[in-house]
Amino acid sequence: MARILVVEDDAHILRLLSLWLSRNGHTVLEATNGVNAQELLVTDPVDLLITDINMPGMNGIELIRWFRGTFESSAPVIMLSSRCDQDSIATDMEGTGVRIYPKPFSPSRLMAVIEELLTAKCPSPPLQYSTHDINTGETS
Amino acid sequence: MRIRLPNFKSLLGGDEIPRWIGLSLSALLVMGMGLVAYVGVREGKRNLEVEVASARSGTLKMLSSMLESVSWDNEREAAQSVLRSCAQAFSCSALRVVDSAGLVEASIFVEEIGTLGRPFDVADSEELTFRMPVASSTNIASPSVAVPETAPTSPVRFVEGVWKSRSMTGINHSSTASILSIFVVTGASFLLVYRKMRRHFLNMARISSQLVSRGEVISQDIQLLRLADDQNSVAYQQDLVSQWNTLVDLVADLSRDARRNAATEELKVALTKSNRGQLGDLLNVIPDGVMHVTGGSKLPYVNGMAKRLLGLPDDMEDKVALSSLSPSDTGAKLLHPVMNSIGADGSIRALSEDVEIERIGTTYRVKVLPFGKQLPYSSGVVVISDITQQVRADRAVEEFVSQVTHELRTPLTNISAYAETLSSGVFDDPQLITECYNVITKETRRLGRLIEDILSVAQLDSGGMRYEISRVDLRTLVSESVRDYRGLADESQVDVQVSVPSKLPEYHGDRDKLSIVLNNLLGNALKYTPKGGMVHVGCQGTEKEILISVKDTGIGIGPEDHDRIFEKFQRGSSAEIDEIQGTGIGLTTAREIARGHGGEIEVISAPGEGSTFIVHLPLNHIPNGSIGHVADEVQNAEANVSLETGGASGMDKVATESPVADEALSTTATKENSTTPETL
Repeated sequence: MARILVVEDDAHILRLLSLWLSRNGHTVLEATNGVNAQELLVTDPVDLLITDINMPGMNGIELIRWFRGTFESSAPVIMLSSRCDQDSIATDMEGTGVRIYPKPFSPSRLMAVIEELLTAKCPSPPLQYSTHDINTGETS
Repeated sequence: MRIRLPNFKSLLGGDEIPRWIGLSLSALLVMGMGLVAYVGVREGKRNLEVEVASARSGTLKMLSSMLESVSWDNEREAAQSVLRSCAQAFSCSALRVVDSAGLVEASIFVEEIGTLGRPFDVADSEELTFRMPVASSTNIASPSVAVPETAPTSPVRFVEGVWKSRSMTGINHSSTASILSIFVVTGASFLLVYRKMRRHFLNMARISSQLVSRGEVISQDIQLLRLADDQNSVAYQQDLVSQWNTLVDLVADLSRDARRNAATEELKVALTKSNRGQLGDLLNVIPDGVMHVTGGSKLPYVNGMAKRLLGLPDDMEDKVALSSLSPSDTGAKLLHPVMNSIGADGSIRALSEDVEIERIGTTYRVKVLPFGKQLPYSSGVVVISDITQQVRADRAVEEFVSQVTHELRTPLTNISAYAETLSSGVFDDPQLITECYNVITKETRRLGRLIEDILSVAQLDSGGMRYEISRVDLRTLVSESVRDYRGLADESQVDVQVSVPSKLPEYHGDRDKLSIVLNNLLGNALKYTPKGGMVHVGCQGTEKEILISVKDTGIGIGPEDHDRIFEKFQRGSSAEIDEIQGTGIGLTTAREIARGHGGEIEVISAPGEGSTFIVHLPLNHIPNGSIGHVADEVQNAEANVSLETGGASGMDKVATESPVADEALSTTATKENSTTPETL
């Protein structure tokens, strides 16, 4: 089972993701913004990062840049986004292997995506963003 | 097949028809008058001359015969009398009889009024004297006549005279002058009309030639139709109709082209003249920069605003080359798109480019609109407009839509995810199930409030809100609002205190709208107050008004933003605010509602020192709207207070008449952070 860090400033979503991930047998670390996440990651590397985009302090995009750049982690990343400018975020994140997953989402489907990412070869290769993912939330 | 009819008005130049027809008719009229006058005068003169000549010849014969009967020797008096009668009868002004040696035998001058209304003057008359021999057997010998006695008599006498009619010379002079002036006027009118109408004449000539060529085709078809037998005639008829319709389309196209060309020509002429003309003055008044640019990179015209925008001197020369200009930095940036619009071959292409001048925080739109007689266009009008406000408004709306979408998605995500959690059957812990229901309920309310906000913006945009007026129980209103936000306060770990006195003046207003005011203020207070902070909601009544206050210990608002935060889609400008989600409509709506109730929202705040928003609601104001059922409202209020509003401490439970509820209202609204209430 994997160690998964969930970074989300909305307490309800954070709680819900923790519930579902724990039920699937994963160890869940929680952070409410980018800075908290950095603190946790430095001491405790993870197998998967799930992060929101808009958060006070350090936002999700900055966190992922740090995660891939300074922190040099190639662990799979899922970005939960409720923003309108998802296309531009996707362009921004191109080549970083980040999967952008739109809100609102179905917890069960998200779990399936997570399992798929975790079962892929580790360390996972960069995943290409697919429009299909964003528009439908379906796994590809 | 249906036969289309040409639009003759359009063919002849559309709306310009009355003007140019009028001009043409005037010109023709003037020319016609000139011609008639010329012919008339010429003919008249000739006829007059003929008539005068024939009349005079007859007259002279009669005169001669009358004078023949005069006995000049014996009847001088009678001869004199005959001479006078002759002079009067034959319209002679002077008449004399001379003998063969030239000596005067008798003479008469008749003082007559001239035909032109003035006394006849011999000197004015032409030299139309006549001299005619008079056959007579007698001599004039009377001493009373001014004829010398010694004068030798002669068997031959002559009668000489001057006609008293006006000379024809005057007629000749005046008619020549008037004919000449008529020609000058006619010529000038023609030139003027031709100058104005040249384009139309040319267009019509072109259209005519096209019409003729199409007409020939049709004519041939008609010939064929005549020759064709009955079976083929239908096909020919159809072909004919088709040809005709093509012709009509062609005419429409041609007239459209003609009008376009005419408009282009007018613009060109106007621009050429605009430096001195009225158009130049007009273009100088408009707030946009306007220039005329040519394919040769010349600027035949630059209006006042364009000179100011480009940093060019007011007295710059006309037709200056683009390359010789020395514009300001801003001007150089603005001219860049203009230069880009000019091709290497001197053609000008249409272009619209927004140029942001960061230094002064202004955005200009530079538009190049090519024009000319034919492609490629070699002239263009450049319009430079300040679109800063428009860009700001667009950005604000864009930001708003983005924020609203985000804010809608957050509660929606929670509702759908928790609902799925419930329905999945995966979790069976009763406490967790209750939690799911609570989250769904809370987030549904949040969504509802958000939709209220959006609807209120729509109402603001559509010209104001309508108010349903009824008696409002302000204590209930406050407690319900606090109850709705308790969850958020708990999450944010912000202490919410409420203080509402048991007795408040009776107030009438729109309960739902006032609830939006309170919700927006309370929501903002919680949103911008960091963990561990405090929010205080108070309500008090004076003789004149109700005051509802929401005070927080949040990040505060700089004085420069005190007005701006109430503007639609605008939020505070600090970096801290940028990190917090918000649509920028809550305070706009709140203030609109307060004003709708005759009141206002006052803000007291400074960065780092928290904010206090005070809603002033005058008691004597009746908002525009329908008066609702006051009694029902009271009942509703009572019904509301009987509801258990939840929460471990029950601090939101309100009873209008109950001292217990009053006490409850004066307690804190959070479970953990109970503090002593403060009263406003």
